[in-house]
Amino acid sequence: MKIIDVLLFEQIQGLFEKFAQGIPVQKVEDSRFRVYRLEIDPLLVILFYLNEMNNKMPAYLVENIGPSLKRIVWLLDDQQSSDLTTAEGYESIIKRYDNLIPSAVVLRIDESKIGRIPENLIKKSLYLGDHSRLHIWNEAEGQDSLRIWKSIWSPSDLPAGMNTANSA
Amino acid sequence: MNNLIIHLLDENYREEIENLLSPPHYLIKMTDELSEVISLCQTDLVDLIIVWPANSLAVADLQVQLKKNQMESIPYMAVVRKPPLFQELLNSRCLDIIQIPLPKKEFLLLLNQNLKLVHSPSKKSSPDDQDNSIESSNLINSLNRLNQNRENALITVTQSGHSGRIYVSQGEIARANFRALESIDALKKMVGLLEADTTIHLTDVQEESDTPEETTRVLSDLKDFFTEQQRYIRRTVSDKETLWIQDEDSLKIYSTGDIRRQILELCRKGESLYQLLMIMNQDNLEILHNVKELLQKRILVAESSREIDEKEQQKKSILLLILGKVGKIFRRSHKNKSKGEIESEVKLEDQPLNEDHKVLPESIPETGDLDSDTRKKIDNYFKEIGQ
Repeated sequence: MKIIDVLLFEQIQGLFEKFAQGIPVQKVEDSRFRVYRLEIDPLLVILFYLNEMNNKMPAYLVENIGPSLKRIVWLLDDQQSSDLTTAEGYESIIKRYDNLIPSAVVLRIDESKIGRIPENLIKKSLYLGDHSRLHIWNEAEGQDSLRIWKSIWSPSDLPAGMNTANSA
Repeated sequence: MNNLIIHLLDENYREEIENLLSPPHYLIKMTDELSEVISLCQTDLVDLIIVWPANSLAVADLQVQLKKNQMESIPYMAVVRKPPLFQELLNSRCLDIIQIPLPKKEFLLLLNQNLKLVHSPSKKSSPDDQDNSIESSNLINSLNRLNQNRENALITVTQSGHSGRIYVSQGEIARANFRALESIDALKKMVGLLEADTTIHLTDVQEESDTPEETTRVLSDLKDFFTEQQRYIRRTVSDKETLWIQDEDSLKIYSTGDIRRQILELCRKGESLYQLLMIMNQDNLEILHNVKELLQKRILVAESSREIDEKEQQKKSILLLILGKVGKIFRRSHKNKSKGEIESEVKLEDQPLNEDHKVLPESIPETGDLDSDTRKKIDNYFKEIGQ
């Protein structure tokens, strides 16, 4: 059986459960970490290791998943933007992994509070680095999270410099 | 045919009314019972109720009953015998007050003018609209009536402590003043006040005329002016809405003495349009023209659009803040490093936060690449979920 490890940071607890609505992820009960399991087929399983960004990440977690780590997912919430400085505590992780492990920053937005987002930003995602993209997740749009779930595994071929969040 | 209900409070007038208001122009129903007036209104398409002869109590009762029965849209007018009643009813919601005795021809002229207003859609829709409607200004109506009746009167117009006077001699406007304004300027200012209290004292006037023009001509001009003012207001902004200066620096754009500078000064702490029209001595149309220009240039903003602007700005800034922060984090780390470089950094920077927690991993993953078979399996899996 092949196992893919995904390190997942959520800005607020419960964000992953919402992001995974409609995806048959199962909580692994007997783990000492918060782990969710997604069985693609009997020979391929994805394990999501969840961390809250406000808490320090236990080093043994990283050691545990380090070698088979294939993706890093950051789940952010627009209403918690003032707390985003906490993400800087994880800067070292990005620093070390950004060139090796594709990262997906998923930003949940509420258009009624944050205003209408141009469609091209939502559909194309934003360039953060060669292997990193920022995805805007409009929770109010029923299956919007599924679009992001699909693109996490095959990062788009967005030309560098286009729709770049780094230039914001 | 005009369908009229006469709320008859004195039987002596019955015959006279029947002779005056007869088919084919008028279809009348007369009753001395208010309950029957209401009942008729519920079963008939009524154009106008006339309280004849009216007193303030009867008019107030009618107003209450119409409101209670949700028939406030039915207009009513009063026919009064004595001048004091005319004054008492001035602040009522009567469409008009006609004082008798009056020649038959003049009475019908006034009645037909009112019926014409009733039949215009904007007028019939709501009596609340009357005060601000294009056609009507209570003051102009009162001046018209005084002119037609060739009466002497002193009219006092007051709003928020600002007051003015109009002297009417034999129906002609003899003199008018409002603060330092005189003559036609004062009349225009008073006519343009939207929430003024007006009192009319029918008394002898010993004032020399300072309005050389004929009163009928002046009244016609005032009506045109008032119509234009109301049109301007409708096209500009609600008269009750507070206007704010967008940026203090914009004061420097206009020199002292410039009307736009005065408007901006007054709006520094927020001011409504109708207050501006009252406070400022300039012609209302000139004020409105400049307010409109300042609003178009967004030097001046209305309360409602100011709130929208602030909310939009806030919304934009939230998104920009998030994108900026995320972008910054990745920008700092986005350097081309080899695995060897990273490993050496890890060794050098192996700094546990404490014994139990450390940020840096001991081992570095080989790569995040997924082989094509695995990627294909995952792609197909999510495609199936989406179907």
